[in-house]
Amino acid sequence: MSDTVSPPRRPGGQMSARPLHFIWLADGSGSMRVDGKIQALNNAIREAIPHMQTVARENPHAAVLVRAMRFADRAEWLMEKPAPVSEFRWQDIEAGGVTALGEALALVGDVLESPFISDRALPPVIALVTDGLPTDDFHAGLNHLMSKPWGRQALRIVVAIGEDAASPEAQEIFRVFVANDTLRPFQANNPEALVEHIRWVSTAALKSVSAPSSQVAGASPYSIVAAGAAMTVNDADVW
Amino acid sequence: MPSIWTAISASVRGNWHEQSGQKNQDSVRLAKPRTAADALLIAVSDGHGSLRSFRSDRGSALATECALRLLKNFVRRTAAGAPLSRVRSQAQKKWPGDLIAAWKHAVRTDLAQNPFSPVDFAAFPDAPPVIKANEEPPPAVYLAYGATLIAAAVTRRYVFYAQLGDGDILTVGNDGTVSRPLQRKHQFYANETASLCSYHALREFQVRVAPVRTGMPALIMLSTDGYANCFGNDGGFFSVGADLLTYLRQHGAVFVHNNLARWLRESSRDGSGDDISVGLGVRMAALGPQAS
Repeated sequence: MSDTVSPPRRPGGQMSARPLHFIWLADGSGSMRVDGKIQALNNAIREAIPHMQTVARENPHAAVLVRAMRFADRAEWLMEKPAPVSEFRWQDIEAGGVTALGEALALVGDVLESPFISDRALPPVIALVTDGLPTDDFHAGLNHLMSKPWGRQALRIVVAIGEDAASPEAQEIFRVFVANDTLRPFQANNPEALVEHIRWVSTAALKSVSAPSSQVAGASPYSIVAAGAAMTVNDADVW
Repeated sequence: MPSIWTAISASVRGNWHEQSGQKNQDSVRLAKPRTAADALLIAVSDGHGSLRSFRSDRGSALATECALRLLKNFVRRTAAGAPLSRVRSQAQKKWPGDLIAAWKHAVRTDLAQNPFSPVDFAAFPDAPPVIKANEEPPPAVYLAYGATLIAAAVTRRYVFYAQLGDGDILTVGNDGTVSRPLQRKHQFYANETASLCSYHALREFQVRVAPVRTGMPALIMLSTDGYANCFGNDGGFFSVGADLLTYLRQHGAVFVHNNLARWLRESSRDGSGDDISVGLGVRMAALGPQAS
């Protein structure tokens, strides 16, 4: 026996990075037409994509897959399948209708299970961007999402736009959705703040969930807020 | 009479931790048998490495240290003809509780020697926990050291397997067939795991005692989850077991020993990015005359 034999190939089958699903939930309700909120949302997400791509490139151990959904009178995926972040392009959405957030959450719950998500995936990220209260059965949708293990494991974050989204009723909805005392909604009251928050949420969230550290079952896993709270943004009220 | 089992191990810091400057959070310990009468003992632990588990490298080291000590005691107590039914009963009813208690005691001792500083808790809204003498410390203490554990002991009469949390135990038969001696109670999603620091740790522990008379594997592999997470599916990961047996047969145990750390480093780089630790129990008679 000798250790000078030419090394055989590394043991095991083909390797792959762990999938990381990032889902944008974009509010396309009629109120988003007011004061240019929908344009600001489109611009902010489009602007955030290159930053997401940079973060993804820096971590070859996660294969970031992005999907987006618009919700208004109905909730609908903007693309059939998740796209690798390197190929993801934001398609502008238009505003009109009511706020079917409950339906949106239910649709997300439908894809957070096998065969749509591999059992070796990293925690998904669900980023909700909205300016107000749901008009359908939010709790039914949330219960459906949370009935799925991947829904419970997801990092759920909110970017709240304008004063309606700062109301106690809306904040309560967001608190229940996020279900993590250390994660508060990011409040954006003008286009610059929206850009900053969306960029922060998309990149910090990706970094947070793509680390291989384990989380004790049942514990609150994520803590990206401390740094987020320290972010300096223009706080002038436009919305 | 020479030992019929040998052991090989390696533990490498993951690509992710190299870039972030974090230590290897894993630990692996072996007790190689010197004679055929000795047991082979392997313990592997994965420290959580999360923000709250900032001492999990210590936690995993304490876990493997305690596991090896308790395995040694267990094997000694059950060596002298105790019926397998009693071995099994003690393994399932007593060993997990003893191990958790030993780990918690080791954590408290470590903490007494190296108390938390305010800096350790600077990132959290809560202050460092108050530790009172003769009182059970708050959960944040054990969470700081949080780690998993997988262990195996091979004796002349039985093979003992134990697992708490993520990680994998694979056995490889003479024909290269790979299987799991412990079926998971439930699936963990994302990076979730049960832990020695969990409130429900005892309930989550899985233990099995397999009698030797029903057959012995050629190879037993214990690994932290950073290894399985390098592969797209279980098939790719199971191939590791079959390939290692082939290499052991073709090139010998020394060759595998000399290459294992490199393979793990490459796997972390091209796969999960996580720390990877592996403990191998190798039945020499299964390798054929040349390899031994």
